[in-house]
Amino acid sequence: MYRLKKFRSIIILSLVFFLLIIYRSFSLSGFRYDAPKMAERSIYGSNLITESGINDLSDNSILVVLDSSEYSLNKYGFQSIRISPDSILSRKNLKLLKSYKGSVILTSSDNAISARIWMILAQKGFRNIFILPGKNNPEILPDKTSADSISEINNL
Amino acid sequence: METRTKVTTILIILGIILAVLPLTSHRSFIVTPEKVLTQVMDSQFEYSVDQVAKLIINDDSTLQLIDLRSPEEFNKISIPGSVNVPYKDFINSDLYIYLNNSGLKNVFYSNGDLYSNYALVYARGLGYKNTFVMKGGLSEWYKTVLNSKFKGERISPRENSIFEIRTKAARLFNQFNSMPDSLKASFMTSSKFSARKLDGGCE
Repeated sequence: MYRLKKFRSIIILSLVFFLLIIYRSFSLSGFRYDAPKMAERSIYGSNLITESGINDLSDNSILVVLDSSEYSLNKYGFQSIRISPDSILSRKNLKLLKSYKGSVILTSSDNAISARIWMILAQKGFRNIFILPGKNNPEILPDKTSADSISEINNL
Repeated sequence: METRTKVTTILIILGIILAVLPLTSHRSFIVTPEKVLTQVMDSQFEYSVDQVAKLIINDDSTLQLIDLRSPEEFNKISIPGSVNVPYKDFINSDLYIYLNNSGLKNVFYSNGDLYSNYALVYARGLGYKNTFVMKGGLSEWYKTVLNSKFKGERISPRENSIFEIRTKAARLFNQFNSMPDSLKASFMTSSKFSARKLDGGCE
């Protein structure tokens, strides 16, 4: 006991450092994962899913519609929900997304929104997040001579 | 002796703690999630293809276009003045190499919106504030700039201005991409020189 008292200041200091390191390491308020590793799935498109691929998903999956587009929430056999991108990081929504052990599918009429939310959630540690892109393949360049790719300046 | 023993003990304990516990990697995002979300959901970080076209034909020296596609795609077709940083290399590199100049507007683009927006969030999360995206990517560039046609009987001054910008940008794009790779770099330099001569301005 006397020896412990002798090292009191060291023990207290070490305890403070220990608690600070524990808090920093396990704090859920920020990002704590290796950024390149969490972004890896986006490099080769393994985070993308097609309409046909969705049919193979388990029932414990959820479709998250990120905008107010006319998307049928009952299109697939599992739960769908509409979440505004601005509130995706709320405690309630994060808890909801974490509760799904299957896949979490993000979709939006604007692929940019889906991509941004995907990256943020991936960096938060979500490994089961996929993007269902909009109607066209988002990273294939269309034929530049295609008629429906013409843009007209008309009453701008 | 007493002090030395105490300091030594503290250091040993700290060393054990550091060796055992998983610390946050220095390559994690440094901006808080809420701040990253607020930043990237703000449309001021998007450039339209018309805005990029205008910057290109005005030879804006603060613009750095970063093409995230593969080298094969980049060599086939690219926007004049852009640099190629394939997305895979972008993610696995130290971004300081590409984004350290705070005086530049780093505008990401790819064929669509996915890679450019991944890169935007990634760069912003790592603290690089001078990063933007070109909305719609090359697909939008083709649709809006290259295949732009005027329809109607009358054209307002604003429409005319937009049409002129698109026409000039399309011409530059087509000229640039019709050249062999070896001539592309010198073309960019000479086109800047020619534009100044045509404008009749003095340096």
